[in-house]
Amino acid sequence: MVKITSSDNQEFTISKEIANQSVLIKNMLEDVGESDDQPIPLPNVSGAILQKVIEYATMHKDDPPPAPEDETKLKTSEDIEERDKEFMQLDQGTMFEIILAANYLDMKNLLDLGCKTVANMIKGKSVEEVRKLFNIVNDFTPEEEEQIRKENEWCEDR
Amino acid sequence: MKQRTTLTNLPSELVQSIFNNLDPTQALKFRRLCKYIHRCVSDPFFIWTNMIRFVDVTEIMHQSKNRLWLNGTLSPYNINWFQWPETHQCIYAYTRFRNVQRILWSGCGILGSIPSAIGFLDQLQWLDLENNGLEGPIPREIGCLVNLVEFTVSRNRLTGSIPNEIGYLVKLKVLSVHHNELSGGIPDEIGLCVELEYLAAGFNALTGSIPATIGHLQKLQVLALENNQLNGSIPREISNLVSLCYLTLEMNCFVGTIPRQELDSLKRLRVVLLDGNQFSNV
Repeated sequence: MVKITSSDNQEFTISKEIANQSVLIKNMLEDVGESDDQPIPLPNVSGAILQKVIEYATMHKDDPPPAPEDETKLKTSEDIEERDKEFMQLDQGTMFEIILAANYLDMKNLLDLGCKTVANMIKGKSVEEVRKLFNIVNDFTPEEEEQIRKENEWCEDR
Repeated sequence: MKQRTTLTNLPSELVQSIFNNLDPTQALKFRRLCKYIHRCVSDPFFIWTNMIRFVDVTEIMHQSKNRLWLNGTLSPYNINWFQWPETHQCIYAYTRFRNVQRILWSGCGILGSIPSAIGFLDQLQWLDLENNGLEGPIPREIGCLVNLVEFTVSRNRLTGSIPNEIGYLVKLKVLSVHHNELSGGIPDEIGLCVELEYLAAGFNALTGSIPATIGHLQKLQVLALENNQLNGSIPREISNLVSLCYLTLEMNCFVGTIPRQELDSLKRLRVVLLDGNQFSNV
Protein backbone atom coordinates (compact mmCIF):
# COMPACT_ATOMS: atom_id res chain seq x y z
CA MET A 1 0.00 0.00 0.00
CA VAL A 2 1.04 3.59 -0.60
CA LYS A 3 0.24 6.63 1.51
CA ILE A 4 -0.32 10.03 -0.07
CA THR A 5 -1.27 13.36 1.50
CA SER A 6 -3.14 16.21 -0.08
CA SER A 7 -2.40 19.95 0.11
CA ASP A 8 -4.86 20.19 3.06
CA ASN A 9 -3.13 17.31 4.84
CA GLN A 10 -5.68 14.60 4.22
CA GLU A 11 -4.02 11.22 4.09
CA PHE A 12 -5.08 8.50 1.66
CA THR A 13 -3.89 4.92 1.59
CA ILE A 14 -4.11 3.34 -1.85
CA SER A 15 -2.92 0.16 -3.48
CA LYS A 16 0.21 0.25 -5.56
CA GLU A 17 -1.60 -0.51 -8.82
CA ILE A 18 -3.79 2.53 -8.28
CA ALA A 19 -0.84 4.70 -7.28
CA ASN A 20 1.10 3.64 -10.37
CA GLN A 21 -1.49 5.16 -12.68
CA SER A 22 0.12 8.45 -11.78
CA VAL A 23 3.49 8.61 -13.49
CA LEU A 24 4.55 11.22 -10.93
CA ILE A 25 3.85 8.93 -7.95
CA LYS A 26 5.24 5.91 -9.79
CA ASN A 27 8.54 7.71 -10.36
CA MET A 28 8.62 8.92 -6.76
CA LEU A 29 8.07 5.38 -5.49
CA GLU A 30 10.87 4.11 -7.68
CA ASP A 31 13.13 6.86 -6.37
CA VAL A 32 12.49 6.35 -2.66
CA GLY A 33 12.33 2.56 -2.82
CA GLU A 34 9.87 0.08 -1.35
CA SER A 35 10.86 0.34 2.25
CA ASP A 36 10.00 3.97 2.81
CA ASP A 37 6.89 4.31 4.91
CA GLN A 38 6.58 8.08 4.70
CA PRO A 39 3.43 9.40 2.97
CA ILE A 40 4.06 11.09 -0.37
CA PRO A 41 3.09 14.77 -0.17
CA LEU A 42 1.06 16.14 -3.09
CA PRO A 43 1.02 19.86 -2.29
CA ASN A 44 -0.75 20.80 -5.52
CA VAL A 45 -3.89 18.72 -5.04
CA SER A 46 -6.62 19.23 -2.45
CA GLY A 47 -8.19 16.30 -0.56
CA ALA A 48 -11.53 16.66 -2.31
CA ILE A 49 -9.92 16.50 -5.75
CA LEU A 50 -7.57 13.69 -4.75
CA GLN A 51 -10.64 11.74 -3.63
CA LYS A 52 -12.11 12.09 -7.14
CA VAL A 53 -8.81 11.19 -8.80
CA ILE A 54 -8.55 8.02 -6.68
CA GLU A 55 -12.13 7.18 -7.59
CA TYR A 56 -11.17 7.42 -11.28
CA ALA A 57 -8.00 5.39 -10.84
CA THR A 58 -9.91 2.69 -8.94
CA MET A 59 -12.50 2.50 -11.71
CA HIS A 60 -9.72 1.97 -14.28
CA LYS A 61 -7.35 -0.24 -12.31
CA ASP A 62 -8.22 -3.34 -14.32
CA ASP A 63 -7.98 -1.69 -17.74
CA PRO A 64 -5.88 -3.57 -20.28
CA PRO A 65 -2.71 -1.74 -21.30
CA PRO A 66 -3.46 0.70 -24.13
CA ALA A 67 -3.34 -0.79 -27.60
CA PRO A 68 -0.66 0.61 -29.90
CA GLU A 69 -2.03 3.76 -31.50
CA ASP A 70 -3.84 3.28 -34.74
CA GLU A 71 -2.47 6.06 -36.89
CA THR A 72 -5.21 6.00 -39.48
CA LYS A 73 -8.05 6.32 -37.00
CA LEU A 74 -9.00 9.87 -36.17
CA LYS A 75 -9.20 10.12 -32.41
CA THR A 76 -12.23 12.25 -31.85
CA SER A 77 -13.50 13.65 -28.62
CA GLU A 78 -16.69 11.62 -29.14
CA ASP A 79 -15.33 8.27 -28.06
CA ILE A 80 -15.69 8.57 -24.29
CA GLU A 81 -16.76 5.55 -22.27
CA GLU A 82 -20.14 5.79 -20.59
CA ARG A 83 -18.71 5.37 -17.06
CA ASP A 84 -16.20 8.16 -17.77
CA LYS A 85 -18.98 10.43 -18.96
CA GLU A 86 -20.79 9.84 -15.70
CA PHE A 87 -17.61 10.44 -13.74
CA MET A 88 -17.15 13.83 -15.39
CA GLN A 89 -20.63 15.06 -14.45
CA LEU A 90 -19.16 17.66 -12.14
CA ASP A 91 -19.35 21.36 -11.49
CA GLN A 92 -16.94 23.35 -13.63
CA GLY A 93 -14.59 24.25 -10.77
CA THR A 94 -14.05 20.58 -9.88
CA MET A 95 -13.70 19.65 -13.54
CA PHE A 96 -10.87 22.14 -14.12
CA GLU A 97 -9.24 21.17 -10.81
CA ILE A 98 -9.23 17.56 -11.98
CA ILE A 99 -7.60 18.59 -15.25
CA LEU A 100 -4.92 20.45 -13.29
CA ALA A 101 -4.44 17.48 -10.94
CA ALA A 102 -4.24 14.99 -13.82
CA ASN A 103 -1.61 17.16 -15.45
CA TYR A 104 0.40 17.47 -12.22
CA LEU A 105 0.10 13.77 -11.38
CA ASP A 106 0.88 12.87 -14.98
CA MET A 107 -2.20 10.73 -15.63
CA LYS A 108 -2.60 10.87 -19.39
CA ASN A 109 -5.97 9.13 -19.64
CA LEU A 110 -7.62 11.32 -17.04
CA LEU A 111 -6.12 14.45 -18.58
CA ASP A 112 -7.42 13.40 -21.99
CA LEU A 113 -10.84 12.68 -20.55
CA GLY A 114 -11.00 16.10 -18.88
CA CYS A 115 -9.87 17.96 -21.98
CA LYS A 116 -12.26 16.05 -24.25
CA THR A 117 -15.15 16.72 -21.87
CA VAL A 118 -14.49 20.47 -21.93
CA ALA A 119 -13.99 20.39 -25.71
CA ASN A 120 -17.36 18.67 -26.11
CA MET A 121 -18.98 21.43 -24.10
CA ILE A 122 -17.45 23.99 -26.49
CA LYS A 123 -18.03 22.18 -29.76
CA GLY A 124 -20.81 23.45 -31.96
CA LYS A 125 -21.59 26.45 -29.76
CA SER A 126 -21.31 30.08 -30.73
CA VAL A 127 -18.57 32.27 -29.28
CA GLU A 128 -21.15 34.09 -27.15
CA GLU A 129 -22.60 30.83 -25.80
CA VAL A 130 -19.15 29.59 -24.79
CA ARG A 131 -18.34 32.91 -23.10
CA LYS A 132 -21.51 32.61 -21.08
CA LEU A 133 -20.99 28.95 -20.23
CA PHE A 134 -17.48 29.48 -18.85
CA ASN A 135 -17.85 33.04 -17.58
CA ILE A 136 -15.22 34.26 -19.99
CA VAL A 137 -14.81 38.02 -19.90
CA ASN A 138 -14.44 39.49 -23.36
CA ASP A 139 -11.38 41.69 -22.86
CA PHE A 140 -11.03 42.83 -26.45
CA THR A 141 -11.82 46.42 -27.34
CA PRO A 142 -14.76 46.67 -29.74
CA GLU A 143 -12.28 47.54 -32.51
CA GLU A 144 -10.10 44.50 -31.77
CA GLU A 145 -13.09 42.21 -31.66
CA GLU A 146 -14.40 43.59 -34.93
CA GLN A 147 -11.01 42.92 -36.51
CA ILE A 148 -11.03 39.28 -35.36
CA ARG A 149 -14.65 38.89 -36.34
CA LYS A 150 -13.68 40.01 -39.83
CA GLU A 151 -10.77 37.57 -39.95
CA ASN A 152 -13.13 34.87 -38.71
CA GLU A 153 -15.94 35.63 -41.14
CA TRP A 154 -15.35 32.50 -43.18
CA CYS A 155 -15.14 30.09 -40.22
CA GLU A 156 -17.63 31.45 -37.69
CA ASP A 157 -20.79 29.91 -39.06
CA ARG A 158 -19.42 26.35 -39.13
CA MET B 1 -8.45 32.43 -0.49
CA LYS B 2 -7.55 30.45 -3.59
CA GLN B 3 -9.06 31.71 -6.82
CA ARG B 4 -11.65 29.41 -8.38
CA THR B 5 -10.21 27.47 -11.28
CA THR B 6 -11.76 28.38 -14.62
CA LEU B 7 -10.99 27.78 -18.27
CA THR B 8 -9.11 31.05 -18.54
CA ASN B 9 -6.78 30.54 -15.62
CA LEU B 10 -5.59 27.10 -16.68
CA PRO B 11 -1.98 27.12 -17.89
CA SER B 12 -1.73 27.69 -21.63
CA GLU B 13 -0.63 24.12 -22.41
CA LEU B 14 -3.84 22.78 -20.84
CA VAL B 15 -6.01 25.29 -22.71
CA GLN B 16 -4.22 24.07 -25.82
CA SER B 17 -4.86 20.41 -24.92
CA ILE B 18 -8.56 21.23 -24.67
CA PHE B 19 -8.73 23.12 -27.96
CA ASN B 20 -6.65 20.46 -29.64
CA ASN B 21 -9.82 18.34 -29.60
CA LEU B 22 -11.46 20.80 -31.97
CA ASP B 23 -10.57 20.86 -35.63
CA PRO B 24 -8.39 23.80 -36.76
CA THR B 25 -11.32 25.75 -38.18
CA GLN B 26 -13.27 25.53 -34.90
CA ALA B 27 -10.17 26.34 -32.86
CA LEU B 28 -9.72 29.46 -34.98
CA LYS B 29 -13.31 30.50 -34.46
CA PHE B 30 -12.86 30.53 -30.69
CA ARG B 31 -9.85 32.83 -30.74
CA ARG B 32 -12.49 35.55 -30.43
CA LEU B 33 -13.39 34.39 -26.88
CA CYS B 34 -10.77 36.50 -25.08
CA LYS B 35 -7.17 37.62 -25.36
CA TYR B 36 -5.76 34.71 -23.37
CA ILE B 37 -7.43 32.04 -25.50
CA HIS B 38 -6.52 33.97 -28.63
CA ARG B 39 -2.89 33.76 -27.57
CA CYS B 40 -3.11 30.05 -26.77
CA VAL B 41 -4.65 29.02 -30.10
CA SER B 42 -2.46 31.36 -32.18
CA ASP B 43 0.73 29.74 -30.92
CA PRO B 44 2.48 28.19 -33.96
CA PHE B 45 3.34 25.00 -32.10
CA PHE B 46 -0.32 24.53 -31.16
CA ILE B 47 -1.41 25.17 -34.75
CA TRP B 48 1.17 22.65 -35.96
CA THR B 49 -0.01 19.96 -33.52
CA ASN B 50 -3.67 20.68 -34.16
CA MET B 51 -3.27 20.59 -37.94
CA ILE B 52 -1.29 17.39 -37.99
CA ARG B 53 -3.84 15.74 -35.75
CA PHE B 54 -6.85 16.57 -37.91
CA VAL B 55 -5.67 17.38 -41.38
CA ASP B 56 -3.60 14.27 -42.01
CA VAL B 57 -6.36 11.78 -41.50
CA THR B 58 -9.02 13.79 -43.30
CA GLU B 59 -6.70 14.35 -46.22
CA ILE B 60 -5.94 10.69 -46.66
CA MET B 61 -9.62 10.10 -47.28
CA HIS B 62 -9.84 12.90 -49.83
CA GLN B 63 -6.58 12.70 -51.60
CA SER B 64 -5.89 10.71 -54.68
CA LYS B 65 -3.39 7.88 -54.45
CA ASN B 66 -0.72 9.95 -56.07
CA ARG B 67 -0.16 12.68 -53.54
CA LEU B 68 2.05 14.61 -55.88
CA TRP B 69 -0.89 15.61 -58.06
CA LEU B 70 -3.79 17.51 -56.62
CA ASN B 71 -6.60 17.92 -59.06
CA GLY B 72 -10.35 17.84 -59.21
CA THR B 73 -12.19 18.06 -55.94
CA LEU B 74 -10.63 19.80 -53.00
CA SER B 75 -10.82 18.64 -49.42
CA PRO B 76 -12.28 21.18 -46.98
CA TYR B 77 -8.77 21.92 -45.78
CA ASN B 78 -7.53 22.56 -49.30
CA ILE B 79 -10.25 25.17 -49.72
CA ASN B 80 -9.56 26.71 -46.33
CA TRP B 81 -5.91 27.10 -47.22
CA PHE B 82 -6.75 30.21 -49.20
CA GLN B 83 -8.52 31.83 -46.25
CA TRP B 84 -6.57 30.75 -43.19
CA PRO B 85 -4.30 33.17 -41.34
CA GLU B 86 -0.73 33.19 -42.57
CA THR B 87 0.71 30.90 -39.89
CA HIS B 88 -1.86 28.24 -40.75
CA GLN B 89 -1.12 28.61 -44.45
CA CYS B 90 2.61 28.19 -43.88
CA ILE B 91 2.23 25.14 -41.66
CA TYR B 92 -0.29 23.55 -44.00
CA ALA B 93 1.84 24.20 -47.06
CA TYR B 94 4.93 22.93 -45.31
CA THR B 95 3.35 19.75 -43.94
CA ARG B 96 0.96 18.84 -46.75
CA PHE B 97 1.97 20.37 -50.05
CA ARG B 98 5.74 20.45 -49.93
CA ASN B 99 6.36 17.79 -52.55
CA VAL B 100 3.31 18.47 -54.67
CA GLN B 101 4.07 18.83 -58.37
CA ARG B 102 0.66 19.72 -59.75
CA ILE B 103 -2.19 21.76 -58.37
CA LEU B 104 -5.03 21.80 -60.85
CA TRP B 105 -7.97 23.50 -59.23
CA SER B 106 -9.66 25.53 -61.93
CA GLY B 107 -13.32 26.35 -61.39
CA CYS B 108 -13.39 25.02 -57.83
CA GLY B 109 -15.14 28.00 -56.27
CA ILE B 110 -12.08 28.96 -54.22
CA LEU B 111 -12.39 32.23 -52.32
CA GLY B 112 -9.62 34.14 -50.56
CA SER B 113 -6.21 35.03 -51.90
CA ILE B 114 -3.13 33.21 -53.13
CA PRO B 115 -1.15 32.43 -49.94
CA SER B 116 2.40 33.71 -49.83
CA ALA B 117 3.08 30.26 -48.36
CA ILE B 118 2.82 29.04 -51.94
CA GLY B 119 6.56 29.70 -51.93
CA PHE B 120 7.12 26.51 -49.92
CA LEU B 121 5.94 24.37 -52.82
CA ASP B 122 9.25 24.38 -54.60
CA GLN B 123 8.51 21.14 -56.45
CA LEU B 124 5.45 22.62 -58.09
CA GLN B 125 5.38 22.43 -61.88
CA TRP B 126 1.76 23.12 -62.74
CA LEU B 127 -0.38 25.63 -60.87
CA ASP B 128 -3.82 26.16 -62.33
CA LEU B 129 -6.30 28.22 -60.32
CA GLU B 130 -8.27 29.58 -63.25
CA ASN B 131 -11.85 30.72 -62.84
CA ASN B 132 -12.14 31.01 -59.06
CA GLY B 133 -12.93 33.96 -56.79
CA LEU B 134 -9.36 34.79 -55.80
CA GLU B 135 -8.62 38.35 -54.71
CA GLY B 136 -5.52 40.24 -53.64
CA PRO B 137 -2.11 40.22 -55.28
CA ILE B 138 0.03 37.57 -56.89
CA PRO B 139 2.49 37.05 -54.02
CA ARG B 140 6.18 37.80 -54.60
CA GLU B 141 6.92 34.34 -53.24
CA ILE B 142 5.81 32.98 -56.58
CA GLY B 143 9.44 33.58 -57.49
CA CYS B 144 10.41 30.64 -55.24
CA LEU B 145 8.63 28.18 -57.54
CA VAL B 146 11.65 27.70 -59.74
CA ASN B 147 10.28 24.49 -61.25
CA LEU B 148 7.04 26.06 -62.39
CA VAL B 149 6.13 25.31 -66.00
CA GLU B 150 2.56 26.59 -66.02
CA PHE B 151 1.13 29.43 -63.97
CA THR B 152 -2.54 29.98 -64.70
CA VAL B 153 -4.58 32.32 -62.53
CA SER B 154 -6.77 33.84 -65.23
CA ARG B 155 -10.44 34.68 -64.58
CA ASN B 156 -10.19 35.73 -60.94
CA ARG B 157 -10.26 39.14 -59.25
CA LEU B 158 -6.53 39.51 -58.62
CA THR B 159 -5.17 43.01 -58.04
CA GLY B 160 -1.71 44.54 -57.72
CA SER B 161 1.00 44.11 -60.30
CA ILE B 162 2.79 41.20 -61.90
CA PRO B 163 5.71 40.72 -59.48
CA ASN B 164 9.25 41.23 -60.76
CA GLU B 165 10.11 37.89 -59.17
CA ILE B 166 8.41 36.24 -62.15
CA GLY B 167 11.87 36.48 -63.70
CA TYR B 168 13.10 33.65 -61.46
CA LEU B 169 10.77 31.22 -63.20
CA VAL B 170 13.22 30.16 -65.85
CA LYS B 171 11.27 27.00 -66.75
CA LEU B 172 7.95 28.78 -67.20
CA LYS B 173 6.17 28.02 -70.46
CA VAL B 174 2.66 29.30 -69.72
CA LEU B 175 1.85 32.55 -67.94
CA SER B 176 -1.87 33.13 -67.98
CA VAL B 177 -3.19 36.05 -65.93
CA HIS B 178 -5.91 37.40 -68.24
CA HIS B 179 -9.31 38.58 -66.97
CA ASN B 180 -8.21 39.96 -63.60
CA GLU B 181 -7.80 43.47 -62.21
CA LEU B 182 -4.02 43.60 -62.39
CA SER B 183 -2.39 47.03 -62.69
CA GLY B 184 1.17 48.31 -63.02
CA GLY B 185 3.57 47.47 -65.78
CA ILE B 186 4.87 44.31 -67.39
CA PRO B 187 8.18 43.82 -65.53
CA ASP B 188 11.44 43.89 -67.49
CA GLU B 189 12.26 40.59 -65.78
CA ILE B 190 9.77 38.84 -68.05
CA GLY B 191 12.68 38.65 -70.47
CA LEU B 192 14.36 36.14 -68.14
CA CYS B 193 11.58 33.58 -68.66
CA VAL B 194 13.30 32.31 -71.79
CA GLU B 195 11.18 29.16 -72.02
CA LEU B 196 7.93 31.15 -72.20
CA GLU B 197 5.62 30.05 -75.02
CA TYR B 198 2.32 31.54 -73.94
CA LEU B 199 1.82 34.93 -72.30
CA ALA B 200 -1.77 36.04 -71.85
CA ALA B 201 -2.45 39.11 -69.74
CA GLY B 202 -5.43 40.60 -71.57
CA PHE B 203 -8.42 42.18 -69.85
CA ASN B 204 -6.59 43.76 -66.94
CA ALA B 205 -5.61 47.35 -66.14
CA LEU B 206 -1.92 47.08 -67.05
CA THR B 207 -0.08 50.31 -67.81
CA GLY B 208 3.37 51.24 -69.12
CA SER B 209 4.92 49.90 -72.27
CA ILE B 210 5.96 46.49 -73.50
CA PRO B 211 9.52 46.05 -72.20
CA ALA B 212 12.24 45.68 -74.81
CA THR B 213 13.42 42.58 -72.94
CA ILE B 214 10.45 40.76 -74.49
CA GLY B 215 12.82 40.18 -77.40
CA HIS B 216 14.61 37.47 -75.39
CA LEU B 217 11.55 35.22 -75.56
CA GLN B 218 12.43 33.33 -78.70
CA LYS B 219 10.03 30.50 -77.92
CA LEU B 220 7.03 32.78 -77.40
CA GLN B 221 4.12 31.73 -79.61
CA VAL B 222 1.26 33.69 -78.06
CA LEU B 223 1.46 37.28 -76.81
CA ALA B 224 -2.00 38.44 -75.80
CA LEU B 225 -2.19 41.82 -74.07
CA GLU B 226 -5.53 43.10 -75.37
CA ASN B 227 -7.87 45.33 -73.35
CA ASN B 228 -5.37 47.00 -71.02
CA GLN B 229 -4.05 50.56 -70.78
CA LEU B 230 -0.62 49.82 -72.21
CA ASN B 231 1.09 52.70 -73.98
CA GLY B 232 4.33 53.54 -75.73
CA SER B 233 5.23 52.00 -79.04
CA ILE B 234 5.67 48.36 -79.97
CA PRO B 235 9.37 47.66 -79.35
CA ARG B 236 11.48 46.82 -82.41
CA GLU B 237 12.81 43.82 -80.46
CA ILE B 238 9.51 42.15 -81.36
CA SER B 239 11.32 40.98 -84.49
CA ASN B 240 13.30 38.55 -82.30
CA LEU B 241 10.15 36.60 -81.40
CA VAL B 242 10.77 34.07 -84.13
CA SER B 243 8.19 31.59 -82.84
CA LEU B 244 5.36 34.12 -82.51
CA CYS B 245 2.13 33.15 -84.24
CA TYR B 246 -0.52 35.08 -82.29
CA LEU B 247 -0.21 38.74 -81.29
CA THR B 248 -3.17 40.64 -79.85
CA LEU B 249 -2.67 44.20 -78.64
CA GLU B 250 -6.05 45.69 -79.45
CA MET B 251 -7.88 48.10 -77.11
CA ASN B 252 -4.83 49.70 -75.48
CA CYS B 253 -3.17 53.12 -75.75
CA PHE B 254 -0.24 52.22 -78.00
CA VAL B 255 1.20 55.06 -80.08
CA GLY B 256 3.94 55.50 -82.68
CA THR B 257 4.22 53.48 -85.83
CA ILE B 258 3.36 49.86 -86.29
CA PRO B 259 6.69 48.12 -87.03
CA ARG B 260 5.40 46.46 -90.16
CA GLN B 261 8.78 45.37 -91.43
CA GLU B 262 9.59 43.63 -88.15
CA LEU B 263 6.20 41.94 -88.04
CA ASP B 264 6.51 40.83 -91.65
CA SER B 265 9.81 39.15 -90.83
CA LEU B 266 8.04 36.83 -88.33
CA LYS B 267 7.35 33.85 -90.56
CA ARG B 268 5.01 32.04 -88.21
CA LEU B 269 2.80 34.98 -87.36
CA ARG B 270 -0.82 34.17 -88.26
CA VAL B 271 -2.99 36.47 -86.14
CA VAL B 272 -2.23 40.14 -85.48
CA LEU B 273 -4.87 42.29 -83.80
CA LEU B 274 -3.96 45.94 -83.26
CA ASP B 275 -7.30 47.79 -83.39
CA GLY B 276 -8.34 50.33 -80.80
CA ASN B 277 -4.95 52.03 -80.38
CA GLN B 278 -3.48 55.33 -81.55
CA PHE B 279 -0.95 54.17 -84.13
CA SER B 280 0.05 56.82 -86.68
CA ASN B 281 0.33 54.46 -89.67
CA VAL B 282 -2.85 52.42 -89.47
